[in-house]
Amino acid sequence: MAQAVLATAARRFRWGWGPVSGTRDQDAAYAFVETLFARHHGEIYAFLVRMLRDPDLAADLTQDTFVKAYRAYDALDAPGNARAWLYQIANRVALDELRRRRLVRFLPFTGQSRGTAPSAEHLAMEARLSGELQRALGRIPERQRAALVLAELHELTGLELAAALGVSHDAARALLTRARESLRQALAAERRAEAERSRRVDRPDTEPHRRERGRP
Amino acid sequence: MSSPFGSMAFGRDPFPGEHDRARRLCAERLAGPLDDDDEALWLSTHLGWCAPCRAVRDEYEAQRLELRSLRLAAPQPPRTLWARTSALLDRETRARPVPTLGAGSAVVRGRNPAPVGAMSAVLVVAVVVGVSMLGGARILRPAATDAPRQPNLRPAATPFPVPVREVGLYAQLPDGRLALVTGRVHEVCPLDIDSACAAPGLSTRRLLEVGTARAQAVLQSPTRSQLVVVGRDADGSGVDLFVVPVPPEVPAATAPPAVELEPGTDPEATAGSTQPPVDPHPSGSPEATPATAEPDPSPPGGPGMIDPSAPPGPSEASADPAATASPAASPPPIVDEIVRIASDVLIVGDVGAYAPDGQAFAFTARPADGRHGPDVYLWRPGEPAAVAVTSDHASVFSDWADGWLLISRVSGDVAADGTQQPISVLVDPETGIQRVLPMSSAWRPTVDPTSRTAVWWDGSVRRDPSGSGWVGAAGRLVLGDWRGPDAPGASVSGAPSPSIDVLGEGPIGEWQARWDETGTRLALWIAEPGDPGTGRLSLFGIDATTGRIDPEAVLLSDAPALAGFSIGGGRLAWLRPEADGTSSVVVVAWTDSGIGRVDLAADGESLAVIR
Repeated sequence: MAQAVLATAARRFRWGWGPVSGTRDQDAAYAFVETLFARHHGEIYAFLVRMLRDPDLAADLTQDTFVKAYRAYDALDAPGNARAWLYQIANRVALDELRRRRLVRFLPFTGQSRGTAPSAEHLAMEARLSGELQRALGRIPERQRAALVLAELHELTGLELAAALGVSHDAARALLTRARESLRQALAAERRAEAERSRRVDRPDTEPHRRERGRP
Repeated sequence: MSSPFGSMAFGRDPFPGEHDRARRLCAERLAGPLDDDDEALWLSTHLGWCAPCRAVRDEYEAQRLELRSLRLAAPQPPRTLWARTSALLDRETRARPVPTLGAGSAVVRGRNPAPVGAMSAVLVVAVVVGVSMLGGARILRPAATDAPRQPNLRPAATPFPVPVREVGLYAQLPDGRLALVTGRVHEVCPLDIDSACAAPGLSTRRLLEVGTARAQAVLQSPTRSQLVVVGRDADGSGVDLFVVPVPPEVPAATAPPAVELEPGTDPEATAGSTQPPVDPHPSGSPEATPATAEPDPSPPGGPGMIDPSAPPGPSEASADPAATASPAASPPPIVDEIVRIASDVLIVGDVGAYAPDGQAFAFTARPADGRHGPDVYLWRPGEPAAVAVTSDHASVFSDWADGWLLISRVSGDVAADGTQQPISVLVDPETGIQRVLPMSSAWRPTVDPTSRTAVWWDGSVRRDPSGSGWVGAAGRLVLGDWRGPDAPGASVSGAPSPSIDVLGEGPIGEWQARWDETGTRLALWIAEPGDPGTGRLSLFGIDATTGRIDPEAVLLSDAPALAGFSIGGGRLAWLRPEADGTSSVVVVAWTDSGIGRVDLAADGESLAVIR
């Protein structure tokens, strides 16, 4: 389907398939990105939400992704690879953002006026992303998280995954396998932590009794 | 499912040791059968005797299933994402004759002030570029290093003055009456400051008793002398529509001592400011209407009440619409009593709209008992009830265009996927002459005040889940050129040009698009999927040259908003839903030099915006 859509765009602007070279006009680049947007913006946005857990930021970075795609239009070697290419841009944008977060400490800016509560959409998104699995995903290394999300949630093929991650085929496979193990361990840690929290909730009922029993 | 990687060497083994090797192979096997038969046999043997590794295998498989279940909860992007992205692309196009790598875009954001490399440098330089958050939504401001100094450069939380902006509000009192309140906004806070701005005083107050159980919406006529109140029936099955003269003012508890009339208020309608509130049941009230209604086309349920099954008024003809386009400009008759123009109906789509000259009010309704679909109704001052303009039970009022009624309807053919193709027609409200517009698949066009551009759904529609109307199915919500019936050289009126801005993509449920009176600001509200009462509101500046969205002036983007907003007079007002189920009034006001916002306080009353 993506091929067909892109082929239509290519015909419209008299593109050929195969490696692209030479100068193309802006209209062609714009139309190409517009077509990509129509086809892929939903999944790119979803990927960025899953990576960053922030729908507003994900929307901004989705914009960035397509603007960068427009700028890097000449770098795409074949329209058939456009989906993986988009994911590669989105992944880099997400990793840049996560890297920046590590470097820059700032107070969380909720974007809401004092005295107002988070929007219903934000609350719904938080609820959706607050399960054990999502928390565990948030604990594994970012590149592994990207590999897992792209492979399991966005159904990228092995070649697409390698292209999206910007690594070799072998490296992508190794990354995905390590990601599964990291997630397994992170999930186990999450469940231990949850059990500990539950135990602490129960403790106030039992602790005073023990103290009372110990009193003279 | 075969492995997406095929057979390959693994490189550095992250699982040294026998058990780790087994677990690595278990992980690899999730993507498909192992290609190496020896590895597969070895793993099978190992799992046969190693219970811990079998447990790990089971954990991997459970984790994969859990991951895949998240596919079903894919986050949905904001509907205005393309409008925002295309605005950035337009800016890129202008700034960069040939696309190249490296330079930054002018995207601005609150939570991510410096997302990537060079973009952050551009943002730092572009001081006046603001990223503002408003109830969780961003306000995108233009980047312009040579822009004049903006009021929002003031210190945080410091309000700046604006010319007085009036906002009509209402609240339903415990005794059932409506209190009409005018909020006057004198100053606003910068949009890009996360601060609470002091609420202005609510300076006038008028009391209104319509006799409705609950007001759902209130609209004001262009002359500000009448209100249309949509109120829920006592039995809750449908709604009634009342036209009400603007009542005299009474001082509000918080009002200043000297109460002044609102500019533009019809002096005759408000002359008796010392008179008591409007009689709840004057001679034209619902109880009295049956005896006085005269030209009512035999509606069941009593005169003065609308009969959605009534035959249409004027019949179709093929005369030149331009010949009879605009009615003569004359002041609309003063309504001096409450008139129930429709009862026991369901409003379809937006509440309706007055003609720009105030001479008529059009809306879409269907019987509350659902016996047939919607038709368009028209009411004129002096008439006892609204009359049906269409009778196909498949038409909705879209807008007024150069004195004509703009109506959209669906074809009778339903595709296999449940979609239908819409058409739009212009109807002369005086003669009933209809002209089909050559706009294929155009649904609910809304025309700007200058009749230059329009917003419409370009695509197919389908029945909404409630069955009362239609929603956009496959297609796009677009802004494009509009050529009215009087356009020079327009052989067939209303043809849009192919140049469009895409405002949202389908499927889309309810939406409302309105310009301010100058046509330079466009407010667009799009309902959340599955919730026609809640949505997102955006405010776009319109490029005076092109009539398209000015990418430098996306003033408000996807602010949470309940249905029904008011734009005009240099301000946009809407209801922001709060997490506790209440709502609050937000006003964004602009001048030539800046834009800001303020939240209106109501001393415990639940205020709503008069549209």
